Amino acid sequence: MLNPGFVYIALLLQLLLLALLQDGLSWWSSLVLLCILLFKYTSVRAHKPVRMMTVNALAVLLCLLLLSQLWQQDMQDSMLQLLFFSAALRLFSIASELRHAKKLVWVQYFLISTGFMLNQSLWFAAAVFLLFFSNLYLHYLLFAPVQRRQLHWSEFRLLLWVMPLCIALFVLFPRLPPLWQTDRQHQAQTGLADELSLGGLERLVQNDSLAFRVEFNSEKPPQQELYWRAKVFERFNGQDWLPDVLPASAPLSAQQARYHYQLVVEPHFQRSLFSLGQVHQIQGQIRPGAAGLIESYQQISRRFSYGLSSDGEAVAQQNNEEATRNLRLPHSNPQASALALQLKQQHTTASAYAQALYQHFQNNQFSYSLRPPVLNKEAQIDQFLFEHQIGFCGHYASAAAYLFRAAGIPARVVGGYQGGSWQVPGNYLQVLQKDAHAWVEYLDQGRWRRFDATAIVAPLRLTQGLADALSLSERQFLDQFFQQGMLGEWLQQLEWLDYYWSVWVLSFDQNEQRFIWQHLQSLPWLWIGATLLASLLLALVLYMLVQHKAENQNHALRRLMFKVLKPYGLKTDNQTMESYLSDLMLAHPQQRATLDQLLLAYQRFEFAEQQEQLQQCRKLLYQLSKNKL
Amino acid sequence: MTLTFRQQLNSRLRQRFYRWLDKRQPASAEVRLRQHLLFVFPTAYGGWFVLLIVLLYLFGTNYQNNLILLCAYLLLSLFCFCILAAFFNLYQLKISAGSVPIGYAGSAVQLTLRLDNYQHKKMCAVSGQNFTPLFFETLPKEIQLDLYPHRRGYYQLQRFTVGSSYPFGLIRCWTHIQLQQPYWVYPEPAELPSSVSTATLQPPDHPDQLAPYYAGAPASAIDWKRLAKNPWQPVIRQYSPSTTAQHPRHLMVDATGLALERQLSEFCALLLQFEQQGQSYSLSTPGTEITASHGQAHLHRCLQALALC
Repeated sequence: MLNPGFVYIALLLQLLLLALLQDGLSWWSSLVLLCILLFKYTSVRAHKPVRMMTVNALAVLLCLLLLSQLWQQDMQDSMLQLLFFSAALRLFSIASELRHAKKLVWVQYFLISTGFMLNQSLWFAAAVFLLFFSNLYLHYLLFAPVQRRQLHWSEFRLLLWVMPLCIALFVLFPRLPPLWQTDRQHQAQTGLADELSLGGLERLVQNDSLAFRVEFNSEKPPQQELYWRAKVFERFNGQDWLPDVLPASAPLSAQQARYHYQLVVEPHFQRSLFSLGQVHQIQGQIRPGAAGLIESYQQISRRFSYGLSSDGEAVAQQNNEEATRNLRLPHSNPQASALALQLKQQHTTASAYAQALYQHFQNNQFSYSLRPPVLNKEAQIDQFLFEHQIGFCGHYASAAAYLFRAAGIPARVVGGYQGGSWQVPGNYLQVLQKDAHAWVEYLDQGRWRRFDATAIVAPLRLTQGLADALSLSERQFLDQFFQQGMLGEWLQQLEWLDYYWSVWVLSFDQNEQRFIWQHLQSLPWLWIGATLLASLLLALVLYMLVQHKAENQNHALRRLMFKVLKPYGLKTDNQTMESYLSDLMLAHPQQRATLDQLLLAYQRFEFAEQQEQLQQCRKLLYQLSKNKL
Repeated sequence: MTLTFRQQLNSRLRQRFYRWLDKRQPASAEVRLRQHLLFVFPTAYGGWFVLLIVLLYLFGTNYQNNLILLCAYLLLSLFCFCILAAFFNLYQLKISAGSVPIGYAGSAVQLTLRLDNYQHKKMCAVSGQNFTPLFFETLPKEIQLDLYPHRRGYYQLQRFTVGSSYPFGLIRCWTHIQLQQPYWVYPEPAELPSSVSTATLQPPDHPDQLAPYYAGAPASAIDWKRLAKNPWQPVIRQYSPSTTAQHPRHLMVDATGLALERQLSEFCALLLQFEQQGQSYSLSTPGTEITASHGQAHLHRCLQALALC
């Protein structure tokens, strides 16, 4: 027999799960599931059993529907839907058989756990774990007596014991690499987008999450040299900068490099990776890409680590085609093209032209802002350069690259990250999404030199980070994305919680496991063992002392009695205290009352453990000793 | 052919297992459940649960999803602690044999077992080959087993099972225990023909004295004729032992085969009747000779002799 509350709780659980897993379910399956649950609810209320025929027919129908949708859907989502259908239909068919209910609980465990494929944020995880424990409660109801609804303390205690073991398993149980390759088909990409518009990077700057972390082996580059190249945009369509279809890359030249560094990249579901300047050596599952970039063989869907060696030098030109490709320009901005021609006439070499551009940006009151006015004209670069003169890195990079190309100097926009913050305890560099940056590379004597107008307009952006480069009002604008106004401090705390959740729980992997093992090994075990042993010994000694003392009181009383009563008569060896005292009573009738009292008090102290009788014994003994004298 | 072979194998294995158990836990008046008596094994559902854990682990590993792994570990540690919980649920339970119960062939015998350390033990099932299985949410101080009807004789309580799959039905902890708990099944008392009872066996209708009815007086002693006349004042007949002792009844078991059973049933009824009437009686069976006496102990001695015929 099934607990009468079981079906209702299961219905509620599946309803909540349906709401929670919306992302992975298509609209029609959500609708079907909702209908099944509602129908089950009404039939349970009406005490009407569901016929097995109906369930089977529904199952066949749903399987056919799923099959028809299979090619349009992600494999994982199909699996999730299949699991959910089986759980809902199982619930649908339950009347009061324990057998079906057992299967339902099993499927629900699976379904709830696979919910983590959709989302792993702290709040989602909290909700999923809540449902997980609800399912555990259902599991308990299966085997509990029929009328029982409440968990007892012994069951809670069991759950409390489970937790430490679970955490220990999580931390110490060996982890395996993926057994077979799985790619999520439509996993949202994070990080740099595939095209750079004039106002691009805005979304990233408002994102406080971690992009990657870098550890330098020996020498660390200065802050203003930390230009992490990730993408190169070589095709300009008049509005946006797009990546070109690039030919295969040239092999790396193994040279002596200045900087050796290890990167740990957060999953961003792209293949592009980050590097500093010209790369000479690589370690890990990566390969050199076009334009001196580095890329991985697969999408980065989990935390990924690789090593590089490079120096701060500019990237070398790979072939002539690269130069011509980076000269193509639709002259969509007449004013800018005119300016470029004018400057080019005064400064013939590429480096001199770059200096002139820096001068231009410096002398014309350009300013740096996260809230530039909207560029609404057809010629956006003209509008930016000659009307607003306010923008951030995307604007400057786009405009500068246009000006270079208009002057006949090959140039391209590079997207990546700039700077990062040094973390004191780990001594590593942490680069956040908000460190996203765009700059320009122009070709000068076979090398792609860096040109970053932001360095002139907002020099603090490079040395101290984004927040310091902004005015107070801009900073407040930026902060609102991280603090969301009124909830302020509290949300900041939760952000912190969420951060550690993702670092410690979500991205816990073999590396960190190894680190923990090493840490455990390096603990001063000798000292810990010695301290434990010493405290154990101390506890033992204390315990024995207490015992000894308790024993002593009785012993001492007996000794005192022998001593005091000696003048009255000696006690033979095999006599009990009682018979001894009664002998004395017979022998000394005048002390009979006192001896009788003594016997009573002694018995109470010795056998009923009435501590207050000890005092009474002593008093009586004192009387006896005085009386004899 | 294969089926019979399998059955043979099964029974052979079972026999060996029981022999091993007999060596491990010889019959005793009381059994305290300790490690060497308790068996802890996963149930079928526990097996499915392990499969679930393995699947979740594979999933979590393959998608490198730590939270799915966490779920798998959570279930795994739950499974591990269920082993302990199931074990400690029965551990230290003491089961002792009660008094030797008696019953009559053809009707159920009620047997009482005493429990100690039974607090905090939950969801225990007691089952065996020859009594109706019982299930307890929480164990009582004494459990009563309803033994299935037997033939007459002297029996030992068979090895029986105490098991529990507390708390999640994943792990079952059980023990087969053998108690020194004998019980008697006397022959079924036959319906005595009325002629026999009135003519030869009924005491003369002139009782020594009549006394007012008192609570607990045997119903057969009630003077029904007088009760019909005066239902408000029931009286009972009392016989002085001296009168009946002068004429001890003697029963002798001499039948064989089918008649034996009939005779035993008859004698059983007669013995009960004699005892009720306070007569003294003696019994001789092919193996034993019981001299005339009366009283409960004597009655049981006689009935036991009948049961063992």
